[in-house]
Amino acid sequence: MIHILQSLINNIVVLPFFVALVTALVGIMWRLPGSGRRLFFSVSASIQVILACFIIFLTHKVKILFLPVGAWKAPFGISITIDIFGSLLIGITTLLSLFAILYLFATLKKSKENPLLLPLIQFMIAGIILSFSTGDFFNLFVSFEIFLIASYGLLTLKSDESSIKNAFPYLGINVIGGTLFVLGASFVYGMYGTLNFADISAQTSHLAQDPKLILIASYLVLVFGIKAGFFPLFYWLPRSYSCLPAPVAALFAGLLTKVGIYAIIRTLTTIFPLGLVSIYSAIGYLSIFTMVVAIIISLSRSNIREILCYNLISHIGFLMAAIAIFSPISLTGGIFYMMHHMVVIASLFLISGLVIQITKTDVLKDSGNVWKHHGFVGVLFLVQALSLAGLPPFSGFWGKFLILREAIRFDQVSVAAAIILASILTLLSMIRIWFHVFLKKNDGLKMGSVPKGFKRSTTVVSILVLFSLIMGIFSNPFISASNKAMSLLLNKSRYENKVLSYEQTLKMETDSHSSHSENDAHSKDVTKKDTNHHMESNHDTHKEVKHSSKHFKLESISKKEVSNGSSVH
Amino acid sequence: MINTLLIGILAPLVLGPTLLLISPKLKNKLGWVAMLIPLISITSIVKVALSVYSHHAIKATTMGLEWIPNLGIDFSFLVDGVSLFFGLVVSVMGLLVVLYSKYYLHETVQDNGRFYCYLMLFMSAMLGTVFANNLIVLLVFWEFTGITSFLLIGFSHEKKESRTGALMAFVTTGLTGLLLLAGLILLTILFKTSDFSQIVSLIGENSLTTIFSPNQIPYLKAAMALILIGAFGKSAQFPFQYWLPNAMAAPTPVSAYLHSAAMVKLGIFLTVRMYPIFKTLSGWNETLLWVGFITMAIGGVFSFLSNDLKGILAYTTVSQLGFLIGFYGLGTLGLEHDFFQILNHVFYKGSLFMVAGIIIHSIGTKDIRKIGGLASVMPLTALTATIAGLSMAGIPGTMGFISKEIMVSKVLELVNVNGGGVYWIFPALLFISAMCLIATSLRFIYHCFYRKTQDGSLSVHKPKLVFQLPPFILSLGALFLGLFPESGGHILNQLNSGIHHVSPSHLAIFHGFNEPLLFGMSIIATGFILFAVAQSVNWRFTGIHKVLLFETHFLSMLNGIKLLGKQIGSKLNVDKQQNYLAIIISFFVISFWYIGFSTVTSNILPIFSLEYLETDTLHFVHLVAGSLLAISSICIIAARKTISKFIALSVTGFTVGFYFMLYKAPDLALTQMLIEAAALVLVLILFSKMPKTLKNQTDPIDYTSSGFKLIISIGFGAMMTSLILIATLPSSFKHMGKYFIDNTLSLAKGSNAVNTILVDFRGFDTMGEITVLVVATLGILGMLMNKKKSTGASDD
Repeated sequence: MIHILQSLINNIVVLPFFVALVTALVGIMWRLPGSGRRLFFSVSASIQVILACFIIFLTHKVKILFLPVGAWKAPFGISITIDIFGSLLIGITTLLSLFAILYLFATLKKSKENPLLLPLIQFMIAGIILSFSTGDFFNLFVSFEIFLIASYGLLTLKSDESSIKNAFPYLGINVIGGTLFVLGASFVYGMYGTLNFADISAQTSHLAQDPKLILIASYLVLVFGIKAGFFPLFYWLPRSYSCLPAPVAALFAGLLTKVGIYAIIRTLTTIFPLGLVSIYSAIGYLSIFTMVVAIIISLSRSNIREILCYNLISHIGFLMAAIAIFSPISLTGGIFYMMHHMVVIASLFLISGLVIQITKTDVLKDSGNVWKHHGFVGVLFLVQALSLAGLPPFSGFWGKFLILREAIRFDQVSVAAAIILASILTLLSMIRIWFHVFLKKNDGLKMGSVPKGFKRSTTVVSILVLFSLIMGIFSNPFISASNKAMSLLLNKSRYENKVLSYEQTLKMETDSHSSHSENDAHSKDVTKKDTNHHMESNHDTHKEVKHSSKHFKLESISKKEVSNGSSVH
Repeated sequence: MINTLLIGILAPLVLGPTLLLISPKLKNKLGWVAMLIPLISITSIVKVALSVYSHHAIKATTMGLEWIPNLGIDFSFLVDGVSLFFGLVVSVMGLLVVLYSKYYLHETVQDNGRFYCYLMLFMSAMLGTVFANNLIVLLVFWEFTGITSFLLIGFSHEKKESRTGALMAFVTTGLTGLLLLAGLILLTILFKTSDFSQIVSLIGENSLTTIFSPNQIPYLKAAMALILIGAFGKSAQFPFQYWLPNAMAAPTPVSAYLHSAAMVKLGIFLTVRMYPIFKTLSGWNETLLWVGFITMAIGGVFSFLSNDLKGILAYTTVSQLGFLIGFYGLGTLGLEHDFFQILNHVFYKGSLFMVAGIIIHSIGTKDIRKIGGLASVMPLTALTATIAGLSMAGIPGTMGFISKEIMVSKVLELVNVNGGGVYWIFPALLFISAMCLIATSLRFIYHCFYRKTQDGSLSVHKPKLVFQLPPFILSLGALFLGLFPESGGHILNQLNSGIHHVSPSHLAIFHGFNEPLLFGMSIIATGFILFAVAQSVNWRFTGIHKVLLFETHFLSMLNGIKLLGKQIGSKLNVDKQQNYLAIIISFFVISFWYIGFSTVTSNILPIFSLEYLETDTLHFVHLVAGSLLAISSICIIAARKTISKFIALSVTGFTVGFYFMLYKAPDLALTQMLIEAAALVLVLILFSKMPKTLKNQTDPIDYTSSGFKLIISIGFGAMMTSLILIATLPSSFKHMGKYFIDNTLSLAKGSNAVNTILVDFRGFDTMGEITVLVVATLGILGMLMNKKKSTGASDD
């Protein structure tokens, strides 16, 4: 009995992925859409949320969960590795998928439901979860393939003229991106003889100055940049997202670009050595363009969803800035911002779906009257729009605050200026939607009766909005979680250790408790210590990385403990 | 005590939204319930004040709760003279405004819940800002005042002008708020704490230059500049003065509250708060002086030139805010009686706004040229307006006169201390502004109430007495302080003792015959003359030229950004799908080569020498296959017919398969051949189904675009080639491929390593790939299903 439980605990790492996958497959078998099928999908989505919460609970003590698939030991088999960074993102992913599915049920009549819609969504979610949990380069590629191919399917599901036309660039560019990715994986394998994140990290730890490594790392960053929507690689994004139905668009916008950012952060922290300064600064320049150019374009767009899409791209720039500054606090801020943005942009897409249900139009010019007739939808929009613009005390503020703080601390004046400019223009673009869609009086617009299921879908959205509100006002647990995630990312040897010396740990579940609490305490005051940093004008990223080498000292202690423990055994 | 304070600050925030729920039941009576909320706040603030009051002085006390310990941000508050003064002003004014709104709003019954809710949220934000001790908490509440004022100004949201006014106020204060955030961040970095009282105690009586090294001073100055921009934005100082007159689109109670007592005073508040930190930094006083006095003059002149009732008041507010800012710029000279001046302004300006509201409410117009003779209809309001208006003008016997006298004496002192010269500009600006204000005030009083209407066609809706009460109370306050400045000053000085450390001079109606009195009297005389002259030409010159109105520039700037967006969009081809791929690939190539060349060092060059290639394995066959591959690739590009391109493509594929054979990988070769064969067959079948036009389509030759494509292709090819060369460089890393070959039989029970990798070692990947195939099938199925539906169910 205990044995079974033990193996279940060990295998919980892949469980969210498998539940999503199996749900999708069962969905295919269960051909006709109906109440039972819907119940099945929503129960499964809830189970995924619960599993994700459990994983977050397991990882939040700065612990890494690891499963060598098929018990092939680390560098050789595929390793599924979830640290707190991954588990947080899995948590948000499953949450969004649950809410999108519930929203879909509320708005879509059963007779109109395409039987493939839900399975494809679940396939996509499975792929995304896998990409957040894998510790292997080729497996990361496979998971990208899974969610990308599912997303192609979702885009063309309606298969009318316009959606296929708009899906084509998405398809073309992502297929090319995928090809470049698999080539990148093969380059990495060719150079370092391994695909395992931890193993690559261990092999390359001394190579931070190696031009070959810089070249391959920047190649990979660019490849993931296509997925993340870097300037000028974002072209495929706006048009394809804005032709999707609201809940699917919410998932796309909330999750897909973030997978790209996730992969970049992994590449630059877990996989390759810290201190690749030239790459950071290149990302910094690109981040300025991404933030500013996209948000300026958003002001010239004329329909809600396209405006949201360009906002999304612009805010990817914030995350890039966080990566570019590459200090512990900026990464903490970046991780927090990422979680916030997933929730907020997804709920804004859902809210735009509500609005379109009311006004039957997506075009600003033709819209109006919503505030007067549906005040509550207005409140929901306002909260999320202000959060998107990063006004306090909404969730967008804290991430932006930390990133801006670090930009100022390291004298990155242009990045700081771009953050400020992008924030105010975000506010402006949100006000534009607010004025045109909500406040403006439009007598030409017939306010028809409330569509069926409108109340239910509004409830679904408002729970999501409440979640993001809590994230803003009671931000401490989220910031502390991001902080732990950051400290594990910079603390590479812990990850390497966990994966590469698994054989020892398997037997006695080492990771002795004392080292945990020590690390925990340490990570807690990382930011505090950092807050007390002096203002030094010539303080550059390099030093910062050295600064974080304090982690390594602490790490080596715990490493010793681990090896001692095993030898005693 | 923290709980009492929190109740005072957060009660409006929590209880405000509940007003929305009970509003349908109570309808017009909601105002009475809403009044309870400011009462709660006032009571708690007074209670807190009494608890820190001892020996005729306020003891500055900090209190707080933990909020975000990870960032060192506590939810902490500072109770001292400054915060208590502003807190009481905000909450008492809040009470009066709610009372006033109850009568002002009675026509728009269905919306009054929303109105009171916003008002309460705003009040909470204000109280939070003034009491905040932690700078980040201060900023949080500061921005929240911006959000709530956005809602309040845009309350009549179906009117375009109120939307524009709200937009201007929000974007301007939002931008300056972000700069303020940057300034506060700098400050917290420099002082290593975001706790205001800690910063102040850290500085103590030291000069900043002694605490910080010379290379940190520029950062301090930057922090100061950013913080001041934040303050100027909120207080509508030059060059941000434009938003305030436009915010007058708000309902009048909102103007009376936000634009006399509350939001616009936040800039003043911030200046007082930051005073102990920056007072010793050079540039602080100068900036305040210049900006304050320029704003004062602009506001004065513009108010003189306006015709809109609320516009006039707005510009006088701008002028008065400049006055207050400039007052602080006088340094220690200007710290005396600052609360006295602020309270003065709150009293008469709040009163005048409410009067304006009563007038608008009664006769439905805002144009002062159309108003007249209202004294007979509303004598109490006429009295109120006269007291408040004269106080604004600064006629002897009012509080306005005393504050002007103080100001004049300080400015003259400043001129003397600095030896005249350019400093004479300050008395001059003061003179201009005060003169215009006198003429404007006289106009306001005379035109609204005492002159005879030209056509007598005004239909007056007589206001209720209670409606006229709040402005009257405020004007009484102004009158009281004007007549008994000693006692007023005495009360306020007790609040002063928190952080200012000044022993103020004695206040009196009459300070004796001296220079300031003379100066003041001459201002009044010229003001009256100006009024008489303007009256004689019937104010025909009024109206402000468009160029001087910054709001037009602001709006055209916003429009410009929008146009810029359009242009950038079209320059970047965001709407031309056919160019997406080319742009992305070229960016890839450019940035790769940029990074490549910038990291090229001696140890990367050997790649290109090819010496390491094991030439003995390079057979003739390899070369043939290689050149076949190259030729067929070129054919893909060079071929002009679609079908030839496809065939060339599959030749490439088969050659790759051949290559696998050469490297002794029969499995791979077999797979490759199968795929190629199947793909070719499928393509040919498809091709036979294609319409003729598509089949015979040939690419038109366009040399510039083909040249561009050629360059990109070569760059891309070179990039991939060099990456492959780099990847295949011999290295010291152990390849795990060897492990698979060694262990395939013993561990995975299969002699073919490729197979065991696929199905065992990395079986998970294979499962993933199978999933990909399933999903792809589903995607195609989805498209086909719909196709069938749309053709089959055309009668639907």
